[in-house]
Amino acid sequence: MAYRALVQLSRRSALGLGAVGTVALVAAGSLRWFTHGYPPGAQVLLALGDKEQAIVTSLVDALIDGGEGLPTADDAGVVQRIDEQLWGADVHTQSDLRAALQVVEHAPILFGAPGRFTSLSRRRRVEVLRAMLASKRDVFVQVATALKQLTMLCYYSAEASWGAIGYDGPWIKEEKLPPSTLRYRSLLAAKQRGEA
Amino acid sequence: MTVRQWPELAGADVEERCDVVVIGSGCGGASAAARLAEAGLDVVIVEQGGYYTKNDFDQREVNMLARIDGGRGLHASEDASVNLTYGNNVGGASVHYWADSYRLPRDRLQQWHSLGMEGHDSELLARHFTEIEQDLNVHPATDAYVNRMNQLLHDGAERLGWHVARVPQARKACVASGHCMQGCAYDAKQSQLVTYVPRALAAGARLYADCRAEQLAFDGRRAKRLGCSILDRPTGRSSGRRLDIDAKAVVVAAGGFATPEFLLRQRLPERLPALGQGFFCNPCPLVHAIFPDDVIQWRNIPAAWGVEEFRLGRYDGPERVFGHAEHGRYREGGYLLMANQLQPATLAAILPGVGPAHSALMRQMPRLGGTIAWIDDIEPGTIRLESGRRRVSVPLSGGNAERIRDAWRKQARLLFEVGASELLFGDAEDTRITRAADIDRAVGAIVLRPARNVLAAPHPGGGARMGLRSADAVVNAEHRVFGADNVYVADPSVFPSPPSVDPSLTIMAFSFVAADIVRAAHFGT
Ligand SMILES: Cc1cc2nc3c(=O)[nH]c(=O)nc-3n(C[C@H](O)[C@H](O)[C@H](O)COP(=O)(O)OP(=O)(O)OC[C@H]3O[C@@H](n4cnc5c(N)ncnc54)[C@H](O)[C@@H]3O)c2cc1C
Repeated sequence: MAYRALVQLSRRSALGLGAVGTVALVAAGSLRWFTHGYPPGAQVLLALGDKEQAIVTSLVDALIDGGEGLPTADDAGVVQRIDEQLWGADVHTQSDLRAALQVVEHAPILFGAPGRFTSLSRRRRVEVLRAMLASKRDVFVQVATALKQLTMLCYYSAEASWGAIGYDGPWIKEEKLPPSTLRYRSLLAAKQRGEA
Repeated sequence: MTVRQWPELAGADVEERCDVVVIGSGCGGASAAARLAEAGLDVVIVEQGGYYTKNDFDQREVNMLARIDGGRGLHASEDASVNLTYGNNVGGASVHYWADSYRLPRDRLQQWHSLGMEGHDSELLARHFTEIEQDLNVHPATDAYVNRMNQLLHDGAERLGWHVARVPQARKACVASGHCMQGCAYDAKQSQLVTYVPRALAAGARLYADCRAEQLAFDGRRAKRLGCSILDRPTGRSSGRRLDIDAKAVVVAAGGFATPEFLLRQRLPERLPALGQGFFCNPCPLVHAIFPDDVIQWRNIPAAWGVEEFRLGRYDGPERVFGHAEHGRYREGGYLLMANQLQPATLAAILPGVGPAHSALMRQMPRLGGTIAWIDDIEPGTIRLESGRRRVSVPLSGGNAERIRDAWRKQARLLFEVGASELLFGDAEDTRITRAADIDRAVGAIVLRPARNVLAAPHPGGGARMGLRSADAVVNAEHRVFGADNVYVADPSVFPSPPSVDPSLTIMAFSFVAADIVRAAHFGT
């Protein structure tokens, strides 16, 4: 059976942060979000905006270990794979995932790490994610779990990761891209060519 | 054979006229459509997912999630307590199911009758089960289907004195690739895609894939017309084109999540307070196990042996019934227990830890096995609409929690019995144990709260339950929606409680009943 939990970050669960958490998030959000822009993303993508791309890149870097035969997150193309998942998701899932990214970016202050997630060292980011996963507040567990699951799904669906984990791969050797991937790739190519 | 689908279909609006329109092409819809079409009726099937065949199936998890899984596999209940797993394609969830094919146990049928379900007597169902089993080549899993994880499950259960039996399988010439959940690329699994869908088409049914049924137009108590959006398959969004169908009868078989949702979106002739209540989904607690040697759980069929010892809950005093509070003290049970099977990306998504801790586990994948249990829910959940969005809620408290914990304990006992060196419960706190003596303490300490545990919801139903009155049921014993003259439900939404075994065969048998009723009521044949 398959169990890729993904967050349904409802308004109710966002309020589950409690008054202190909400105030802290709003403060962190407004101060940093609006006063500091995010540089243009390193990659041309379809669904993730610049800020979101920065968050996803930092997140993936903290979650994925790589090494000893495992590809880096870059080599496995994880950020683009996440962009494709977000692009293909229904509007509700999209908005949940976008909200989850904002929570990750502005929550570190609640876990003793002042600063945006994207500004922390890798070690601090890993600590924050662990703390979120073990948090007493369900909403943080929800957010961290959802993003971790999405990242792992994207990373380990990359063929480059299979050798190191002893997986012999599908028996059907030819990959057959689904209609959503074909559309995503053609739109992305057009954007990369500056057409969209 | 008429199949219309994207992209051809998105070129123009379409008008249709038929005897019966069936919404959904899964176990419920396809079997009803085949039965109706073979009886000579003019049938149209409307399916919101795409029409894919074995030639499209490439066994890659993310590609197949995009093709055949509802929400690309990314949907969860509203507080993320459980992950919603369901189909979104011609053939529905049967295209990614495991093909375990149980008859509804007699004790559960009796319970359903005691809960207000009429008709559906055991002789009638037995005849339907026999026919369906022949159509789907259902047979007990043979030795050739037993991978090492299933052998361990069998051996452990025998040693513990638990009843373990071969799981009946709907397969023909299975090559044992282990890719059931990515859609069978060999047409060996007898999903609806290769059984009742082609049967319906051969009998003249017309299938519209990529079409989402949206609105029923009523004239008094009669539904006259079904309005559908023709979808753009790559995005799953509306193409702007419409399909409108005039039908004499409507069969809603959109599945356990979508049927209550569809009905909630309608202006039904009568107010139905039970709609969306009484929901169940068999939440599935699992345990990962590290073994000293390779188990390669990802090959061969998922479930060849099943532990049936704990199918029914055991109580000191009266047994507890779904949705009812009175009962004796819970002792144990209320679930089926099986070997688990996961390909790497899905496994990675649910393993605990981040960074090196996580990749260290993945590197042990050949030695990583585990088990899974389907909890026979006892606390009802709900499906409702909130600002137009479907919200599914599944309680992890009360009787459900008791059963989930007991299922963890039993799985842990079995896995240690057959030599597992370490067990992982997959929870947010990453509970792990290496000794059987620690089972009770560890399981007792697991925090069972939203998003902290890995629980799938593969068997949804109950949201449009069958009963005697519109005060506490949505359909009557004839599967007809209260207050409507010609709208029927043919899927597990009508079940008064969870079936206590995998539901597909029961869904099909009930659809046969529903189809025969529709035929007799509206077409006099
Ligand atoms: C991973 C997994 C493994 C499973 N293994 C087993 C097993 O081994 N044995 C077993 O018995 N059961 C198993 N099940 C459960 C079983 O597959 C389902 O219970 C069964 O297939 C459900 O059939 P259904 O017709 O009720 O719904 P579905 O199969 O979900 O079919 C409903 C169809 O309706 C379509 N639809 C929904 N809304 C609309 C709309 N508005 N307009 C048009 N179309 C719509 C959907 O796209 C879908 O195709 C498994 C489930 C999962 C997820």
